[in-house]
Amino acid sequence: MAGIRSDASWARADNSEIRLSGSWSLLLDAGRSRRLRRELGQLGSPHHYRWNLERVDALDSAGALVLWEVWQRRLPEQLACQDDYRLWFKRLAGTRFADPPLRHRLADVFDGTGNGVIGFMRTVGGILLLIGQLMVDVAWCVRHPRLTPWKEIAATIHHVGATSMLLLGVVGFLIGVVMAIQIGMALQQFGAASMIVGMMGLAVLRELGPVICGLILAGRSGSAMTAGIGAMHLTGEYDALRAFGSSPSLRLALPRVVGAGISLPLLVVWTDFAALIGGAVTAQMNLGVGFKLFLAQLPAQVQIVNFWIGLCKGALFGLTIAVIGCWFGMNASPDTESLSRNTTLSVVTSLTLILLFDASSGALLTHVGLL
Amino acid sequence: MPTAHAEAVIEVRNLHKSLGGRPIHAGLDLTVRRGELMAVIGGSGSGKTTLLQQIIGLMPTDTGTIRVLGQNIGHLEPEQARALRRRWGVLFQQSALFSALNVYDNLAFPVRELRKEGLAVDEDLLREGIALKLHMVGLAPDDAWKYPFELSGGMAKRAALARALMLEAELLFLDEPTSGLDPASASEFDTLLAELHEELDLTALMITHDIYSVATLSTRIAVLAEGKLAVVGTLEEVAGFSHPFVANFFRSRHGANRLRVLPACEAR
Repeated sequence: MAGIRSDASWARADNSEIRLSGSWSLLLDAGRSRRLRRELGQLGSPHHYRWNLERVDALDSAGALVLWEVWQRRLPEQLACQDDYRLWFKRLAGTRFADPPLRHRLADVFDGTGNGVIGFMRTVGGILLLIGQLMVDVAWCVRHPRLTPWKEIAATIHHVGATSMLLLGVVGFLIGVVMAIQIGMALQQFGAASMIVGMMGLAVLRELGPVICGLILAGRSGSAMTAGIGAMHLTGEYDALRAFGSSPSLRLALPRVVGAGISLPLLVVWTDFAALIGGAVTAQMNLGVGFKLFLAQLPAQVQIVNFWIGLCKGALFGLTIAVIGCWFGMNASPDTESLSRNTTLSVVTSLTLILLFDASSGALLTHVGLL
Repeated sequence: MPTAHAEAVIEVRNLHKSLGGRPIHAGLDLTVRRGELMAVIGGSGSGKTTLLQQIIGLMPTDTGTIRVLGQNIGHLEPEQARALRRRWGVLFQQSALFSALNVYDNLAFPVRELRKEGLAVDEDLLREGIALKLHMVGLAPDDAWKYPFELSGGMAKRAALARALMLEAELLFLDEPTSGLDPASASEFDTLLAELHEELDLTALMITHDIYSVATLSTRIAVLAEGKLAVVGTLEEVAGFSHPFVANFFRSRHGANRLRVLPACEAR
């Protein structure tokens, strides 16, 4: 099969013989194979002819298939042909094709809906079970401190916490700058520029710090957890772990959940700090509210409880991201499609839950720390 | 059967390759002639897989030339490279079936990829072609609709072999074709490979640890040691060669038991 185009041709000799010649390597020449099939198909009764393949230079499976179809799936009685070409027809004679399993449309709709509902319930139930299992694991770790996976917890704190600091610092600072500019403009009109301290402090400590951290970490670390654990199904490591009698929740989920639960509040402090610095710098440059004044006014204008609320939210978001990330990773099937689907689901679920928790905490805590 | 003067299909000359500062190949030469089934054996870490990856162009060489089907792998235009790749098939050690596609679509994949080059694909013919290839590798027609994770190791290997043969390759690369299979499946797979090699006039380069594959399949054997080929020859020639790896490989109890039929081993 040197070239792509084949030079297969045929001719009728004295009304009783079909002579084929040229290279019948038709695999890469669909146009010609279609034409030959059509032309030869018009012969009417192919089995009345003598088929002469002696001048065929090459025959591949596609060429053999064309002839086989033309011969209505059986060898002609009169066939002059080399042995290795004959082998193709022998193979074709043993070939059957199974149609794809038939599916009923209506049943599919019910199936799909049912599976969707069951899948959702399974996900919710599975996540609750994982949370329960993690509590059992924590209790076990308290009783066996030497067997607690400290190293993995430390690694998670490094991956989730330390390596996110640059990103969160930059994002926090920029958000602080933007907020100060925009709120400051409105405040200046009322001559109340120094109110910026209280407004920024409240918004950053209570809302923005933890939510920004949560959203960024859900994308950055939640997806990594799902992909990392999910890939272990592909490589068989997950099975290996279980075969050694290790609990995947203890070895894989617990360190990530604990690590993220520790890292996120710390990152919230860091993001709060960066955003407030960004706000203070902008306030000094744009609004004439001095840097020192900003820092001095902060504790006076914002109750400290807001900082603690932000911290608790951070911890809650961290636990959510890790539990969701681990669950979707642990429940991936060993194929690439499921891995990508679960990674998407994990990030989407985490983001939704973070915003849901944030909104409910906002609604529940209206009497705390606002005035 | 190939003769000593048949056209060289793979020619590796003076190949040097280091990975992470460790020399893997130091002046390796290898010639595979048309119709041969060359087995490359060697200890773990001797660079068998690295050699294969360089020959099929997945890994660049440090120095040296590799010619496959008359073309220098190092200097190919993208179109030439694609045309060349159509002429060979690769059976990977882990089968490497696309896990998101069923067997049918896995087999259709190389053919459908041809559309990139403007070649039409006749889906009817493709359907028949897939049925034929499944039959040739000994899979049932229903297996076409299974997904890779539903296949046993032996079936996955067969499906991967069918995929490698989809474009009627004239050159086949086999990376550990029987690794991970139980002895019965492995020997069935060896038989299948031997039949197809015979029937399809294939040239093949096989990397293997399996002494049984080496004995039943290969027409010649190359032993890779210390970055070079220690010896190349038929089973009898290689088994008689005095080299620590060869001695271990062929005359270990495991090897000798299986090769008792061979006079070259029996004599020792």
